[in-house]
Amino acid sequence: MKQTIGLLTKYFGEGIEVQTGLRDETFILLKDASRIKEAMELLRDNGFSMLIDLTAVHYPGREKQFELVYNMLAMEPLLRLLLKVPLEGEYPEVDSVSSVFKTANWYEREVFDMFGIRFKDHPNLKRILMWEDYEGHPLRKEFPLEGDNLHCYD
Amino acid sequence: MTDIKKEIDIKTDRMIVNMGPSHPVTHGTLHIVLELDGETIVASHTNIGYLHRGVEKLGENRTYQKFIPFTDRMNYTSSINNNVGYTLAVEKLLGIQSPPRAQVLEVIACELGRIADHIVCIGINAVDIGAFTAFLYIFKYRELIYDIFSRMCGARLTTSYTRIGGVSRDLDDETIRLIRDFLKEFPPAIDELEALLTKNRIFYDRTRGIGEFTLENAIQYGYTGPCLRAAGLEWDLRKKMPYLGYENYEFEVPTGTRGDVYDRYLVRVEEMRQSVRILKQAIENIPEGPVIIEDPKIALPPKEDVYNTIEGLISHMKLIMEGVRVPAGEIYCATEAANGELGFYIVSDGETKPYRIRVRPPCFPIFSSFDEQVQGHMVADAVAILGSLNIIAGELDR
Amino acid sequence: MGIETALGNTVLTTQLSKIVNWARKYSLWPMPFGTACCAIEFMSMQASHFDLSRFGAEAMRFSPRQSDMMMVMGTVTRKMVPVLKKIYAQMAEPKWVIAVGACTCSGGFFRSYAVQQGIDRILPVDVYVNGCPPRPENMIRGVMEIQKLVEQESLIDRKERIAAFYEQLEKMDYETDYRPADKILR
Repeated sequence: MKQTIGLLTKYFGEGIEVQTGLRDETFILLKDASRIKEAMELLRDNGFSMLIDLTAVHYPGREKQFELVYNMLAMEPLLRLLLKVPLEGEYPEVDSVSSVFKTANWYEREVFDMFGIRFKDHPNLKRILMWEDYEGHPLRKEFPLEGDNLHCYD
Repeated sequence: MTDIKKEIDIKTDRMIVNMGPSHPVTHGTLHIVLELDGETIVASHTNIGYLHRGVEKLGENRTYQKFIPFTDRMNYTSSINNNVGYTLAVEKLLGIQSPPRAQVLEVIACELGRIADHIVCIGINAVDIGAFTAFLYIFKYRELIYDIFSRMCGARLTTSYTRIGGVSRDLDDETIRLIRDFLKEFPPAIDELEALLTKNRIFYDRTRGIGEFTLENAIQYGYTGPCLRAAGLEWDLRKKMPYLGYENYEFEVPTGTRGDVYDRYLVRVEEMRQSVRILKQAIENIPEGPVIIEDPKIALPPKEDVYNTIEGLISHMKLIMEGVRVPAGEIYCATEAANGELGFYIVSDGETKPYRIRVRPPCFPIFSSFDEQVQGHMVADAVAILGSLNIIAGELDR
Repeated sequence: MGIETALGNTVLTTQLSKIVNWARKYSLWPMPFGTACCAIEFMSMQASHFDLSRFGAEAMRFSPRQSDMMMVMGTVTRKMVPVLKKIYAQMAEPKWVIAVGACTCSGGFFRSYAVQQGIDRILPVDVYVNGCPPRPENMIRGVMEIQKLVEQESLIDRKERIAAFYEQLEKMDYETDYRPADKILR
């Protein structure tokens, strides 16, 4: 793990912040969202061969209200790494990593569907879980649990 | 795809075939649109979300305990593995461990759940290919597992067996006897299943070389579980990062070589045998002791205390009305469910409800590779591939 | 009565609808519309242990055009609603509908933005089966309830009942009839 952090700091310098959370979980914060593709390529070439999960969290109170969480796995030696990328704005846009990891394709569609975060250069950025002309992004905090319209997909 | 293109010189008009959302092979609600050239699949477009129930959003609005029933209904063929995965994540967040007896009970539950899941997957995959007999033979044993589950936790399918810090009920002698009987009866049944399918010429021809997937591709797509092992990588979280004391059990991780439907079937069959092996070790060595930790802030007090003492009543009421208070922070905790890596990413802000709860479903990344996998195959092969991937819509869409 | 006294015990007079219903009772052709967990229990019901064929309803048809009894099993999401409507429209008369499980009957505990809160807002449901998921015995009971209905109801009665359902559905105002969940639930 230290090796990976060393590698990332060597490459990104100040752009990286290492956080230690609850139960010794290590998170790496990538401050500049536009460099996410570089970071993913770097990690992929250095053993983190699998993108296990990609999701987002909405923090309405913060200045950068969205946070993407890339969950990476290295198999040999076994390491897990959570890379967080804060995003600014109501409908932020970041680079798609689906050319780096094929599995990111659907994960990014899901994040777009649920949070309204757009991904640049995504091959097929459409809603995946809700139907196409659905309004609103359900996992945003201001979205009511019951939904704000009762109409069905037709 | 190119090979088949070379063989077939005659091109026909592209035909669109629609499968689903209500179609017998989709086992649930998936929508697949296939583009065909004759009978060869040229392109496929999948459409999911027909069982999106908003579980993650509901989780943000429920207390930590009240989310347990939702985990049942995600992978409904092996709910108990989901229960264990979720409570392990919350326990990690709280920094506690369930007592040794509870851990062994959870292992027993997990392995029974794994067998039940593989039975459904193999049985249905065989039905889709045309072998109905195997389904009828093997489903009898699923009923036996259901009997064990209903004695363990009172429900056949939606178990909600685990609690934060342990399990809800202890095993009684009758259940242990049932499990012993099952372990005696089941290995011959696996042999029977293999006699029906493994060397069956039709089954072999329908599955060998179908849906072949290279290891690099599988890793690129984030495969986990039996599908990844069938592609040739010995990867099992029970071995690689043991939880619940899996390091104390002797078992092997089967792998395939070609990553096709047949290999996936073989890996699943072998995994059932290994699960029986784990169960045999676990059932003989159940330690004595409590099944849930004694912490009035986390675990419900025993019923006698609730009815007879004021402290018990208050802590019961507090837990039910308010819930468990979890320290602020975030964790990711993964377990090896029957389908692959089931992860829970929980963000807590110190309240009794999770701030964000994310379920990493095993079959979501697996299914995203379906479009690529079926290209160049026949329509009937798409059915075989879909069955072997074991897509559970509840888990896929959440 | 008249004809029986004339011809003795060789004939039996009855109502036409009665004899038709008696014949139809044991030849239900179910169409399993399984979406979620209840469909797994349905598999158990169909498999050897519980064996639905004892009740004359084992001829599963996955094509709606060949079946006259729809068993809706599992959560019906809003994305699924038009599909369900379409499949119902394609079914052969007299279109019996069983709503199996809590989610289908009322939305169950999935009170969220994505789930249709009960299919009786879109289809005329004949029998509700409770449970989450219901045990196979309970599902079999649901089929038996349908058999009872088949026995009692003539085809004309049924047509009138379904027409009345759609009339009522049209009068219903979605905005006012749909009550958001209590605040306590949140």
